[in-house]
Order: sequence, then C-alpha cells, then structure tokens
Amino acid sequence: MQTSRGLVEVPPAQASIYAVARMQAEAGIRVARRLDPNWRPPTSLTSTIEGEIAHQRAVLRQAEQFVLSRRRGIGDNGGPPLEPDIPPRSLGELVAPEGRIIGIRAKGAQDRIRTISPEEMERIVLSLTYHGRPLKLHDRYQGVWYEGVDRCVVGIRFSESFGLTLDVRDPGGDRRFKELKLHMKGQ
Amino acid sequence: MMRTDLIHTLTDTPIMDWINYVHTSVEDYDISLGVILTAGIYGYGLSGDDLVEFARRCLERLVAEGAIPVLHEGTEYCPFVPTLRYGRKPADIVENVLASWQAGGGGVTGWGEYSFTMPENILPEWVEQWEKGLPVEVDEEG
Repeated sequence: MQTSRGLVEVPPAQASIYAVARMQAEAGIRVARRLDPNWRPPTSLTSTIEGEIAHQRAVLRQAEQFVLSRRRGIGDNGGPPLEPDIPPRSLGELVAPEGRIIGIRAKGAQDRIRTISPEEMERIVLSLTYHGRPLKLHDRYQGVWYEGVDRCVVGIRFSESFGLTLDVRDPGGDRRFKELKLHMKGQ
Repeated sequence: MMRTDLIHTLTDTPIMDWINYVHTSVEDYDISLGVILTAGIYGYGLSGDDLVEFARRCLERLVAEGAIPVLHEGTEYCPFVPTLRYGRKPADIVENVLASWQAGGGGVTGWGEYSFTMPENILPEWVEQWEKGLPVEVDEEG
C-alpha cells in the first residue's frame, strides 16, 4: 500500500480500514474547501499503517471542526458536520435507489455481483461509514464490517483482483440484497 | 419438479443461467449457501422441495467446477480452511451439506455458513492435505 513514506505491506483488513479513513478524510477536505478554498488539512510523516489511519482520522476531525465553525448559526441542524453532503441512507436507498440494483453485471460474473462507478462506490461507502458504526465480528473477514442506519451489515474490503469491494452480510430490512457484492469499476 | 423457466425478480437472470454460472460467484473469495438460498427464495420465489432442488443443483455445479467446502477459520491472509466435515467426494459433499442445512431448520443461512471456494483461493499445502483426506492444521503465522 502507498503511504506518505512509500510502499508498505499491510494485512488486507488494515488496508480496508485505511481506505475508509482516507475516503472520509477526502470528503471532509472537499467540504471544507468549498467553504474556504485555502483550508489546509494537517500534515503527517508516518511510516506505519496505524499512523496513516490515525492521520486520516485527524484530517476528518479537523475538517469537521472547520465546517462546524463556519456553519454554526447559519441553519446548522446539530447533526454530524458533513451530513448535508453525506446523507444517511438505508441499504435499499444506496444500492437500489430506483428499485433496480445499481451497476452492471460484468461479463462472466454472476448476477449478485455488480460493478459500480467510483462515484457510486464513494456515495455508498461514505454514507455507510459516516453514519454507521464499525463492527468487530471476530471472523476472518479481510476487511471491515459496518452496521448501517437500517441495521444492515456491509463489509468493505480490498480484493487483490477486483479492488474495493462491498459485501452485504445482513441486508437489514430487505432480504433481497443479502450477500450482494459490489466491485468498483476501473480497478 | 422445480420450474426451469423462472426469471430473477431483481436482475432478470433466467434460473438455469443462475445455476450454470453459480461457480463464477466465487471469484477470489467464497460463496456460501446463503447466497444460493437468497436467490432461490427472494429472486425466484422458491420454497419447499423446489428450493431444495435449486440448492442441490447449485451445489452440484459448484463441486463439479472444483469448489471445496471451507471454514472461515484461517489466517488474516488466507481465511479459508478446507474442511472434511461434509466428506470429500462431490456427491457426499452435496448431500451432507443439504442434510446438515435441513437438520438445522432449513432457513436462510448466515455469512460464511456452508461456504465454498476454489483451490486457488486456499494455501496450496492446505488443499494438498484436504485432497489426501487429512484434516488441515492452521498455523496462525499463515
């Protein structure tokens, strides 16, 4: 995995946690810079995966604090600072917003496996992780499990062959999405 | 007799295509019985004997393509450990998995239960042990 100090080998689950932290931090930076194009995240020089994860989380926290300070008093609803940009959604709203499952079925792939755009992947991961909570299930999953706002349980992991991948373990209220798998296009 | 003209309600996939391509669902990870049951129940509206027949056909296809029953008890780099719990011959594996599932109530099973993967997703020495009919010992160092 590429860090600020070069390439390091990390276990798959750690790489997945880092991917989530980085995606959240980048979303925080985007929102903060929309309010102030000169806003700068904190810098870090770290060579461990734990340090990289901690840094990305620090970036998110600082971005949230900045956004909160700007929004305070101008219609802030008291919710999570990035909520207007990252709304909470049920699994069904995320993967089948118009009743049909998003993405395409890649040639030779089974129909429970869908390939989605990077934008769709980011929308799902951010909503799920920003409003959900990480779960420690003590299985051998090579990623990180999150429980969503509708009690769905979705895994986020890096596949060596397919890149960022989402695994629906428990679909919450809608059983149709059980064990749906989503890959990101272009990896 | 299970109908063979059914279409998946969410994805429009014909049921026979679903069965014939079930092994492609493994990719570099696994497929568990819950995936098959979910498709049968919620995708094709099956129940009772029809659901059992659907599950049997899918499992037969999986083992014919070389899939091995595994437990999610490996290491952080290779989570899949071959198991002899259901036998080693393809026909035994199918019937023993179905019997175990039905003895447990026959409902939709959870993540990693009755899981299968391809040999290339498993450490070669573990596959070798399994093929010899020997139980696999997991070394935590991987």
